[in-house]
Amino acid sequence: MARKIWRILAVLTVVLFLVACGPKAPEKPKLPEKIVVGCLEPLTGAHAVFGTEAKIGMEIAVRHINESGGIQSLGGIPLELVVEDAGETADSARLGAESIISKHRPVAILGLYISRMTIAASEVTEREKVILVADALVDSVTQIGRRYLFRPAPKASQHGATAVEFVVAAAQKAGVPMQRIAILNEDSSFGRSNAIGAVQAALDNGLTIVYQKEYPFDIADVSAIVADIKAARPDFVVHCPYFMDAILFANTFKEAQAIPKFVAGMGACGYTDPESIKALGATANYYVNTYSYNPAKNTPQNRKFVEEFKAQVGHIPTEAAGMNYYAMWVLKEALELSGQMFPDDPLNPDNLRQAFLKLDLTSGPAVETYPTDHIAFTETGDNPYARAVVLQVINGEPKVVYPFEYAEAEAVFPRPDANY
Amino acid sequence: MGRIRKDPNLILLTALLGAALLLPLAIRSNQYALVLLTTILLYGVLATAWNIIGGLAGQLDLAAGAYLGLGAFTTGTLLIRWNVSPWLGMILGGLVAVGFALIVGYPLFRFGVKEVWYALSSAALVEVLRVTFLIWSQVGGPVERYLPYHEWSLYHLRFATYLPFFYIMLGMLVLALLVNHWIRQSRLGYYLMALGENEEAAEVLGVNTQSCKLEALAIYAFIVGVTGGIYACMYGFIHPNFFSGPMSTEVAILGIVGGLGVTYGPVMAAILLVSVRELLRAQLGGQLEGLYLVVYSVVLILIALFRPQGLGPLVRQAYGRLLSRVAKE
Amino acid sequence: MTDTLLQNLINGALTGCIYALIALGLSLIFGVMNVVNFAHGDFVMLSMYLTFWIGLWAGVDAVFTPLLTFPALFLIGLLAYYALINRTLRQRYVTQIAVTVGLMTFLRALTQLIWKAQPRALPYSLIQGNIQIGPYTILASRLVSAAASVLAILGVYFFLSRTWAGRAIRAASDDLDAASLVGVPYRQTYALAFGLGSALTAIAGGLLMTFQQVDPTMGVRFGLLSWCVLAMAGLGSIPGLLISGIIVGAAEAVGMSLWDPRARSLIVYLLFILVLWLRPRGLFGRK
Repeated sequence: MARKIWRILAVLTVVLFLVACGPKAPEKPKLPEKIVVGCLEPLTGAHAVFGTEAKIGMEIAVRHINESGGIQSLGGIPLELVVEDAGETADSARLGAESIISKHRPVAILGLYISRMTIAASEVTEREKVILVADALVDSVTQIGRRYLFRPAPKASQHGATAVEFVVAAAQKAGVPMQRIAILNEDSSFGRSNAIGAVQAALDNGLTIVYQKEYPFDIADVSAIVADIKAARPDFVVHCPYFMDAILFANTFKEAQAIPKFVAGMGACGYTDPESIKALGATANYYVNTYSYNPAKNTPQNRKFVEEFKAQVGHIPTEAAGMNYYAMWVLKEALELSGQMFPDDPLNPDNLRQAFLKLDLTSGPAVETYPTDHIAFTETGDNPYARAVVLQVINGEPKVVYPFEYAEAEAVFPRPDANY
Repeated sequence: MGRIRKDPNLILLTALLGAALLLPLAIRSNQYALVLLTTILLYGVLATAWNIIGGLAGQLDLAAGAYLGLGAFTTGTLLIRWNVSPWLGMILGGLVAVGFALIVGYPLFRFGVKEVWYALSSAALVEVLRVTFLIWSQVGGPVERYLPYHEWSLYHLRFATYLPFFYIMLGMLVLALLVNHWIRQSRLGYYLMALGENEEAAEVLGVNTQSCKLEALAIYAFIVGVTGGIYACMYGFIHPNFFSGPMSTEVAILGIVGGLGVTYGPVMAAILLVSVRELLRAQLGGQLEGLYLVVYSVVLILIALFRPQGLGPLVRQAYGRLLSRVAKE
Repeated sequence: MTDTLLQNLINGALTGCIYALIALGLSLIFGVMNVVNFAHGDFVMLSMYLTFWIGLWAGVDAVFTPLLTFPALFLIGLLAYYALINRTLRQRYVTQIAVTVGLMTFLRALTQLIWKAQPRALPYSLIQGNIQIGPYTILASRLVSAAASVLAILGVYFFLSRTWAGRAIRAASDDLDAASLVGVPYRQTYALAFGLGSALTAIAGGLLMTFQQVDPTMGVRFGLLSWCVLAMAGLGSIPGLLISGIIVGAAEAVGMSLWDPRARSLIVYLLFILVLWLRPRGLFGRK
C-alpha cells in the first residue's frame, strides 16, 4: 500500500519535471534585429482610460522613430513595441512586469502611469535590470533608490507648484490681489504629492493658507466641503481631483453659488479632461489644470504628432499619450548615445543607464514635444528642468495658457462668474 | 495497512504536500506561475482558518480582511520603523489581531449579536479599520508604505523571488490544516459543531457558547493575522486597502463553497476558484474585469442552493472510492 | 463654526431622508419574511447605474428616471425572489446569507463588467439651484430629494395601512401563522414585499444621482448604511426609520466636516456597532 503511494508520488514528480523542461529560449545574439520595448500600462480596470492613451502615444512614437531610420548609431535597428496589461493593482502590475520580461526580454519598459503600480513593477525591473521609463508622477517613485528608473515628465509636486505659480503670475498680470488660498486634494499619494508642491509654493509666495482638506477620490457628496470652503472665504482654490469628483465639485460650487475668484486644478486629471468637459458642459469653463505635455507647442515634430494622433483617435493627445510620446523619443536618444558610448555592448542595462545619465537634450524630436526645452537626468532619475504647463477651458476647449511664452490663448482671469 | 486506511486524510495530505513541495521545481524560475501558486495557497490558508469560525462555529464572519490588515500593518510598521524581523513581527501581528478580535468579539457575543447581525458587524469592522488606518497618518495614511528592499534577506523576509514565500505559505497551510484537524478532534470542536448546528440547543445542553465562539474567533484571527504579516512582506508594502471588504467576502465564499466544517474543503475551493480567477484574468488580459466575480458568485449561489454541504465531501468521496480501488488491487 | 455645523446638519439631515427610504425597502424585506438581504445596497447601486445610463443615453433627467427604474427594479426584485430567495426560506440562515452575498457579489461584478470600475456622475439635473436662509444655503437637489423621499415613505405608509395587499404584508410581518389562517397567500405576499422593497431603491437611486457619483463598490456602503438605519430604528416603526435616517445622515455630514471627509463611513459603522451592542432592538422598535 505505502509502496503504491510512493509510486504515485514518483510518477507525479516525473510528470512535473517533464512539464518543466519545455524548450529553452535560444541564446540572444549580440545585436538583435529589433530592439524590443515594452509597453506596460493599465489597459483594463479603473485606470484603463490613461493606459490606452499612453499605449497609442507609444505606438505613434515607435512608428515615427522607425520611419526616421531607427537607432542610427546601431546601424538603424528599428524598435518593436510589445504590449502587456498591468491591470489596476500593484499585484497585477508586478505580475505584468514578470510576464512581459519573461516573454519578451525588452531592453526597456515604458509605463504604468499609476505610482503604486510603478513602484511594485520596478522591484521586478530592478531585479531583472530592465530600464523603466516611468510616466507616473508621484514624487516617491524616484525617491526609493531605483537605479534603472527614469522619469522625463514633471513630477506631481512640480504640478502643484505650477498651479500656484500660475495663479500668482496671472493675478499680478491682471492686477487682482490673490492672497488667501485653499488647497484641496484627493487622498492618494498622487493627490498628496500635488498638494505638498502647492503648499510649498504657497509658502514661497507668501500666501495665506485658509483651508486645506484631503478627501477620498470616490467621495459621494462634496457639499460639506464646498460649504466649508465658502465659509473660509479663500481668494482661490487649488485642487487636485481624481476624475469624476471634479464634476461633483464644479457642479456643487455652481449650485451652492460658492464659486471663488479662481479654481486651479493640478495634476492633470479632472477639470480639463475631454470627458469631464463633455459631462460638465458650460460649467467646465474657466477651470484650469496642469499638464505634463503641451499639445500646443508649435514645433514640427509636435504638430506632426498631434495631427496623426487626432486623425487616429479623434481628439488631441491627452497627457498620458504626450508623455509617452516624448518618453519614447528620450529612450531613442539614450539608445543612440549608448551606441556611441558603448559600441561593444550598447544594450547592456548598465551601459544604457550610463547613457541616460549623460543625456543633455536641448533640441530634437524629444525636446520639440516636451513641455520645456531641456531634458537631462539626475542620479535619482528625475529631470530637474521639467515644468508643467497650464490648460484652461475656454468656450468648452482646453487651451494652453501658461507658461505665458508657450501659451496658445490668453488666460481668463479671474473667473467672470465668481460668487464672492 | 489497516492503520493507513483508517486515516486516508493523512495520505492525501502527504501526497499533496509532496506534490506541492516539488511544484516549484517544475515551474522553475517562472515567477508568474509562482505568484499564482502562492496566491492560491494564501487563499487556502485564509479559507481554512475561516472554516474554524464560519464552518465549525457557524458564524458567518466577513472580517478576514480586518485581521489580515492588522497583521500586515503590525509586521510592516515594526519592520519599517524599528527594523524588527517579520518573523517576530508576524507573531505579534497575529496577537494584535487576536486582541482586536477579543475586544470586538466579547461584547458582540456578550450582547447576543448573532446570525445576520454578526455577519454585518464583521463586514463593518473591515471598513472601520480601513478608514481608521487611512486617517491615522502616523501608521497608515493613503500613501503606500514600502518595506525595505532586499534581494535576499531572511531576517527581513524580503526576497526578489517568490520562491521562499511559496514555501512559507505552504507551511502556513499545513499548519492551518493541522489546527483545523486538531480542533475537530477536540472537545472545543464538538461544542463548536453543536452550536453551529443550533445555538439554543447547544446552550440548553450546557455548552458555554460565548467562550467557545470567542476561542474559535481568536484562533481564526491569529492565523489570519500571521498570514497578513507574510502578505505584507510578499507584496513589499502596506496600505489601508489591505483591509479589504471584497477579499473578506471572497474568503467566506471559498469556505462555503468548500463545505462548512470540512477540513480540506476550503483548500479545494481555493485551488479551484482562485485558479479560475487567475485563468480568466490571464486569458482575457483583464479585458472583462469582474468576470471572475461573476463566476464566483454564481458558483456560490448554486452551491448554497443545491449543495449546502459544499464541494469538499464530493472530492473526499471520489478520493475514498479511488483509495478503496487501489487497496483492492 | 456654529454656522458650518448647522449648515452640515441641514445637508446631512436632507440626505438622511433618502437613507430612510432605502432602509424602508430593507425593512419591508427583513421585517416581513425575516429574510436577510445582503444585496439591498447593491440594488441601490444598480438603480444609480440605471439612472446614470438612462440619463446619459436617453437624456432623461435623473429625477424622472424612477418612472422607468421603479418598474424595472420591481421586476428584478421579483426575479431575485422567485429564483433565489424563495428557495432559501426553509434553509439555515447561513445559506440565506450565502445566497444574498452571492447576489451582492454578482451585482457588483456585473456593473463592473458593464460600466467599468471608475466612478460615474451625471452632468446636470433640472433641480439645480439653492435657497438662502440667513447664512445657510439649502441646495435644491437635496431639498427636492428629501421631499420626494418623505413623500415616497408616506406613500408606502398609506399602502401598508389602506390597501388589502399592504395589510397582508403587515399581517404577515406580525404573525405569519395567523395571517395564513385568515387566508393571506404568504408566498405572493413575500414576493410583493421583496419586489416593493427593491423598487424603493429605484426612487432613492434616481434622487441620489442628482448630486452624487456612483461606483460599483458603493453597494456595500449603502447596504451597511441601510442595515444601520434599520438597526437603529428597530422593526415596524416608519417614523422611527425616518428619524434614524436623519440621525445617520446628519452624523455623517458633521463628521465629514469636523473630522475628516474619509470618516464618512466610519461614523456610520461605529454607530451601527454601538447600536448592536447597546440596543439590539433599536430605538423605536416594537418587536
